[in-house]
Amino acid sequence: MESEGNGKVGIKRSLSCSEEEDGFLGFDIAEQNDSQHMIQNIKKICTDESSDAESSILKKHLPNRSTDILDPAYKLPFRYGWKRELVLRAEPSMSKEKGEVYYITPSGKKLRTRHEIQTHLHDDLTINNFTLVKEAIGAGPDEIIRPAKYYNYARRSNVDPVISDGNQQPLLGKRIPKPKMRFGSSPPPPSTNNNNISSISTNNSSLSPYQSTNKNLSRDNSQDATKVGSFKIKQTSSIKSKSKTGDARCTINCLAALGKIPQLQCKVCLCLYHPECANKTANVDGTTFTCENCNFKFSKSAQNTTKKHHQPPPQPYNSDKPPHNFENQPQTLVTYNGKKFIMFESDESSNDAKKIINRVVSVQKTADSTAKQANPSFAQDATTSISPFNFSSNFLRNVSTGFDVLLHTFQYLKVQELQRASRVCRMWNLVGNSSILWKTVRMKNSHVNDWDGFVKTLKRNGTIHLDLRKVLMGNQDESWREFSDKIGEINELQGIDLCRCTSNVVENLFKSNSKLKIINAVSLKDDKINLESLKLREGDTMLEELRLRTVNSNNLTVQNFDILPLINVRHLSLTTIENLSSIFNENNLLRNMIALESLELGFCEQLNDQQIAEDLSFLKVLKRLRLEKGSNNFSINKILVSVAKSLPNLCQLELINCDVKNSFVESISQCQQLKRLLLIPTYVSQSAATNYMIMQGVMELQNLLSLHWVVTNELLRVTELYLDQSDSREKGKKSPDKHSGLSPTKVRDCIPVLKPVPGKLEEDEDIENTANKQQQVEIVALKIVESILSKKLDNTKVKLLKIPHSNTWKQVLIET
Amino acid sequence: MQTIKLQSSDNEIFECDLAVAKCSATIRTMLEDLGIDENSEDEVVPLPNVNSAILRKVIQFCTYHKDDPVPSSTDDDENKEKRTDDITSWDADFLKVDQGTLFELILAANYLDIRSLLDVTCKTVANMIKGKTPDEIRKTFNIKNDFTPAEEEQVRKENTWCEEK
Repeated sequence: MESEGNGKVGIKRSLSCSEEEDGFLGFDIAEQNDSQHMIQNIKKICTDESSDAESSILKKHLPNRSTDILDPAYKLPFRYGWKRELVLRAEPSMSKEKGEVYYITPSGKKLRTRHEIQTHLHDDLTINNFTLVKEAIGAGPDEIIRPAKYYNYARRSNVDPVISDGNQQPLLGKRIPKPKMRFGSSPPPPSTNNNNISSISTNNSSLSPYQSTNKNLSRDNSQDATKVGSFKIKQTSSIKSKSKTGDARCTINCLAALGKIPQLQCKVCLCLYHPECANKTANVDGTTFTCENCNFKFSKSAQNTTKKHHQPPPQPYNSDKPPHNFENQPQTLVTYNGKKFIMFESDESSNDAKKIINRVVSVQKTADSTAKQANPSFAQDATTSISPFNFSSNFLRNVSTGFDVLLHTFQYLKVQELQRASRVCRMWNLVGNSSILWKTVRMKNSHVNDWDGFVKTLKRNGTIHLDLRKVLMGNQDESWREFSDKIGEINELQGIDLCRCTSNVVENLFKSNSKLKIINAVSLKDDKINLESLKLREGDTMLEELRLRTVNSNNLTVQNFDILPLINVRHLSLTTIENLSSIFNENNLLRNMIALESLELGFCEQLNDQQIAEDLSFLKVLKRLRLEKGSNNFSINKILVSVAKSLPNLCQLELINCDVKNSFVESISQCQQLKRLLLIPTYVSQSAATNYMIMQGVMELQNLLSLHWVVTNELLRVTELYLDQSDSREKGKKSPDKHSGLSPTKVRDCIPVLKPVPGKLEEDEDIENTANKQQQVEIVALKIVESILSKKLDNTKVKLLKIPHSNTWKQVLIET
Repeated sequence: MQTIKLQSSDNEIFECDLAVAKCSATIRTMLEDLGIDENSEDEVVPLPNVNSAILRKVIQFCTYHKDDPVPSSTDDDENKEKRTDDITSWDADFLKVDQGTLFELILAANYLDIRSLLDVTCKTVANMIKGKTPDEIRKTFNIKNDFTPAEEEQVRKENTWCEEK
């Protein structure tokens, strides 16, 4: 008990110009670890004081040391979160070195040598920002100064500061000359430590220049200590006024010393008090002050522990089991933005925090059973606030988090990157083979050089979806043959995306992988495909998705399509099938696919529009419909009317290269369920009428969220030619401005619209009428069309796009 | 603007907008489930797993991203290919930190359940892995190769059937 007090009193003594300056060496190392915040509490004081004391010692051993420890460069690491630790030897006289200096990286790694530091440099830090000079460099709270082993002190200690009154002579060990007042300086007022600091920093006239600057610094700081700024970051409990019982520590709100940071430190519990509040005048000299709480404790324990110098301190800072009368944690002095703040946890707030944490813990328990082990330490963390980076105490939780994060990170790796990562170490191998990462395998821009290994890995990791789009096949035919031979082994495979393969690869798939539900084969290289092999499937697994398309939209002939088990098909895309009419026109195939959610049909011109319209009305869950090449005899109006009446779920409609014919306005305006619309009309003749109908039709669709209207580059070019001609015809006349103030030659992207342009404002028309009344067609810029439609359709995102006719079939609406 | 106080593990208190704090699903649930009065002045949310330096960065991130649309997490989304080349320049600048800070940010994002921060930090780590040999990866992250030579050969064999071109 007493020895515990010694160390702290030692500090006080040195602060108050006592003769025994190395008294502060008496910290117990174990205690140090338990009460980091306590050290922080006094470290500012320590920094100033020790650098004074130490430098005088240092000067003896290293008289020629020229490094300027106050070089601002040395402060740079602290801005990046580095810490510096100065561990002072317990017995400076026993060794040449006064102590050890460590640097602690922002991540908590302790570095001992310049070489180690070199390997941890980052940003603009260089080795020149670090100094291993065994002195405090005045970095404030980022510099930890602590003494080494405790036991040496007890043996060596000449003074028992607990019982000393400050006048005892040292008996053993190194003696530091008694600090002298500088000539002319006033004696320190006895009441506050604040002044004591300044007084000690003005002693000893034989100091080198940098040391005296250090002193000035400390004096400035001590003055700063009295400043109390208002700041956003504040400790809640600091507002609380103290009560007689329980929490008796002082705050800046103490009535007796309002606004002052308490400076008087109890030698036992290190709590800070105002001298005014402590009710002591005679006994308060800053060295032997003991607060009321501790007095009680001390008087009791002193009887039992006399002469037991080695006994560890009563651990008032171990919050796990705070002893009675020691529940008060010392306040912490923090320096923020050059101002000092006093922080401490009141009982109330910590209880609140505990309560909240307990509630959080219980919530977490129900939410996440894996967090269970971590909970005790979780709660402890909050109340102890020791090192924020304590890996071992939360070991299992940290490991589990690390695993999750690694898994999450690996999702961003491509197959070959994942494979390389799996070779790093056992842990990574384990994570890299998690089935979740292999559920969908994408081979884009990758090349398989060993199909055996490929199949083995995918089988082991339970791949269910294989995406071979843009896969690199060296020798195409051979590679596909090998693929076809081996793919059957991945028997859990449910979906596959193929690209640039031959029809027989697809045909074989049906035989080899009976669980396949999703087959997307785009860019087929053949012109026919026989789906006969599907007959073998005995209906155990029904097809859910089927997309067939040839490379470059070549025509494809499908044989035996009608034997497909299509009752469960949800997505069907047959856009380049030449013989579609023979499939759909003869039997009622389409109307039986009642699970269909999205349907894409090409070559509509060959289909019987009446029959398709009827069939479609059976597909009650259809959400997405795409029709390509609906020109000539195929009337989309019939489809639209049927769709409007019977498909309430249809929200997305894509009409690609379809003729817009008379009564389009009436038909489309009935489709009020539509949310997204993509329109690429054919522009063969009557372009102006087409555009007129589209404008008028879509204006009726008030529920539309997005409208994409694609005009072909060809139409734009034709319109441009027409403008150029009429422009040259009109040369000489003075009416260049007919399109909203723009000369027609400058307006490139215009389309013809039959007059009167739907939705156009009256006054515009007036100008128009005067300009060229004789014409039936008005040339309107795309931008103007877009703005007219945007005005009419409040909630709709309207986009007009220009695309060459050859690319129209590539346009797809992506659900957003 | 409503504010809320957050307390870091080293007992620093941060006051930030409620909307910013609610980027964290953990804080959101805490407020909702526990019925912490949002209007109360003295209510402090303790975050015992985040230190002040990291919490400051997290708040900075959330303040910048607080108006971002909440991404819908449908099945389709999960099935989509995950990219790492879509990190915005602000995020990239924000994440120009040392590895220690990066991993602390990941831990904080994981604990606070801030999806966007977790995604972008993991993407950053993924980018550090990409294009490296196993040995280079070990060096980058200071990982010990704990395979026996036989195991290593076996793992190498199993994992070399694919190459990028």
